[in-house]
Amino acid sequence: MGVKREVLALVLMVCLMFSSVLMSCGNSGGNQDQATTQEAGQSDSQLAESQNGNSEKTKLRVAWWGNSERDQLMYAINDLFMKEHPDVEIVTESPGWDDYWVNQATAFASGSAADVVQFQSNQFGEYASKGVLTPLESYIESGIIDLDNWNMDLVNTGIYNDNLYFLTCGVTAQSLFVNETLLKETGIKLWDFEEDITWSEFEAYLNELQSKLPADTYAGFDFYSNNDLIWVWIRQHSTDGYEWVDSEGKFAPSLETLSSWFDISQRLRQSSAFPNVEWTTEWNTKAWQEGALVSRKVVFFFENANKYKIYQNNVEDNIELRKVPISDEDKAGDLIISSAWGIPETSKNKELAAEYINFFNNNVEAQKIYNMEIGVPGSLTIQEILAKTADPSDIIAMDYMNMIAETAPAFIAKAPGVWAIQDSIRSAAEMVAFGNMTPAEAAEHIIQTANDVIAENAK
Amino acid sequence: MNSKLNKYAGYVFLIPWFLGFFVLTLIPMLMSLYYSFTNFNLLSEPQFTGLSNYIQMFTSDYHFINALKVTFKYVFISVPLQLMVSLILAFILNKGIPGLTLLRAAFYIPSLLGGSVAISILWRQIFGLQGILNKILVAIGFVDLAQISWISNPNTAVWTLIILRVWQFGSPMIIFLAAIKQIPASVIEASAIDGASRFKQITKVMIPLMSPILLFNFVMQIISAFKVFTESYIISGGNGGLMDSLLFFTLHIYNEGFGNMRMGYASALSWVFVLIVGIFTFLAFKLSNKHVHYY
Repeated sequence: MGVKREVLALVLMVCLMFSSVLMSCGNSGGNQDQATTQEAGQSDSQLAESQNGNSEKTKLRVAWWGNSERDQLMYAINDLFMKEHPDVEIVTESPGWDDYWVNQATAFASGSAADVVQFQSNQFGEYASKGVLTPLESYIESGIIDLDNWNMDLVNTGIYNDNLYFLTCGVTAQSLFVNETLLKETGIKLWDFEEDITWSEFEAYLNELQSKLPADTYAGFDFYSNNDLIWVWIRQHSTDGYEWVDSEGKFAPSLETLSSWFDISQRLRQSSAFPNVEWTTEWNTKAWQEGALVSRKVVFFFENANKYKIYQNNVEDNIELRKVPISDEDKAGDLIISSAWGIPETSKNKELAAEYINFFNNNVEAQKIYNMEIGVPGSLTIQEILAKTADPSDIIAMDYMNMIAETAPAFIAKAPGVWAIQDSIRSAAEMVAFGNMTPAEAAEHIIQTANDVIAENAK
Repeated sequence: MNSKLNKYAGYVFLIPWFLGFFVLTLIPMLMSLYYSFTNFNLLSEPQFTGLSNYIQMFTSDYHFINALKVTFKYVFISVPLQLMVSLILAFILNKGIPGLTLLRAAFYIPSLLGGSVAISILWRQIFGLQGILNKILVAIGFVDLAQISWISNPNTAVWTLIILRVWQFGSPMIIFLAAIKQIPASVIEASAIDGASRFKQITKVMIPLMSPILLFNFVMQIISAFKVFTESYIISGGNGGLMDSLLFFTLHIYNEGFGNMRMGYASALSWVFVLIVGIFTFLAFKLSNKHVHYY
């Protein structure tokens, strides 16, 4: 009897053990634990029900960096796609910006990336250089992706080493937001929308404005931590085509270019046209709705143009959009920031993924839903259609993008190692801001770090 | 049959835990040891680079030194403070005062919440430029002192996290309280008969008797403090704060591995970190030979 009981206990235990192992295996599959399954016409409340009874459908995993508003737009677009493709079930993954990149890095590393993945132009080189993405040319040649009447300058932002890996779903660029209502109160006039001013003129303008502002209100929001704007400056002071690496494969920005960038914000802090660094850090951590521009703490604020609509439509003050200042040698350096779709090499549904990308970008209803959420679309046809019903602030943003595209140097994808280099730029900028480094020392530090990173990635 | 089954049954029951240990701990650790000698970037095959990651760490990574400084400062200030506070409160709560159970629970709650995102955000609301602390300082007349953001200023930022850690005294306090309860009443009575004051009873009788528990709490809190991550990640916005003032070692590892996609380098950092924590744990045990008394 005793032996029987022990045997029974052993059998039960082994069963229990394997069932627990199997249960944990059932949760595997990349980011599935964070994914949401979506079926055609579903509301959020219905999403949970969609997990059952869809074994015959092809699952297409789509990943983007999300927020609650953008997610709703994407769900609606996915519904449209699934109506046209009843045999497809879309599984979505949409963490916030920071988590998104951690998820993508680990998903690509484990070969479990989604079928359609959203990228931002800063990451193009990092991923495309590693051979983890599918070139899109064959889908364009076969007609699955239709680029008829597209702005090819915007399409070309997705090229890396002669292959198109990314198809833009919206472009934006750094711009200058101005609280025009607050500016008017000082009696100082704002220059025209199409007018260019140089950095020197801008500096003088801010200093004059500061003298007319009340205490604890500043002419501009410090841009020492703005990693997009520094690249505009670098492009304004580089030989076209060599703003990232030079002809010898070394980090291209010169010591003078980098140190002069840090000089500008340092001078503006010293003249009090910019607040001190702690103040900037404090306000930087706030959501835009509570940010310095909205709270009337600053008059000028550098921000991506696609955010113009949300600022303008959510504040009582009139917010104006202006171009980023040009170099004193009159050279523009605007950097197109593109959000784009790519297809991982590991995807088992590449053709369907290409169909999704085409649908997202060319379907009028889908684009009406998305309504330039992440920037101006690449299709000129879509741009024209959206312009008819667009919010006035979106028209301004669209005009802005078209205006700067005429003078912006060609887009060049940043090479692998971009994150580490951006990090070194940020750290050096902080050191300068706190007086622990001179602008020249900061520039030297960045160049040394960048060259180490570039060399490491070239191995 | 019976004895054979008895012999192996224990091992069979241990299999799930062995599986967990090998698959989720040992193999990943060995993999990370291998990666630490490579340039693994998550997206391409790792290539062996010898000791280059370790050399870089000590020669050209200024974040490494900053992260060490911040972590050491945090650990070696916050842990003794936290243990002191928890010990004092344990002695106070050991006395029969009204609402004792409620007080014990209330003091324990911060330990449950301490590492959470919500508390990290709350800390920003307290120690920010327009936070509660500065409002209080202005109200009591320290206007000049209220002009800084305690959480953003590189000189004060880490102190806000030290306060956060000290505030989480509940867990060691409960353990101290249990240790105090274990001290035989006869020993305390004997010391009283010998004329020891309450202070002498605590310092000369009770604390020496509690020394194994003190060592346990010290080692556990040291290890736990070295591992702190969430607070600095949330409060610094993930980048380690101004001038690396909140760049704890764990955050540096995370940023290198997942932010900069340098998993090989992050693995090397992790192994150096394991070594550092190991050395301090070893030192704590070494010290215990002299100062910890087992009865």
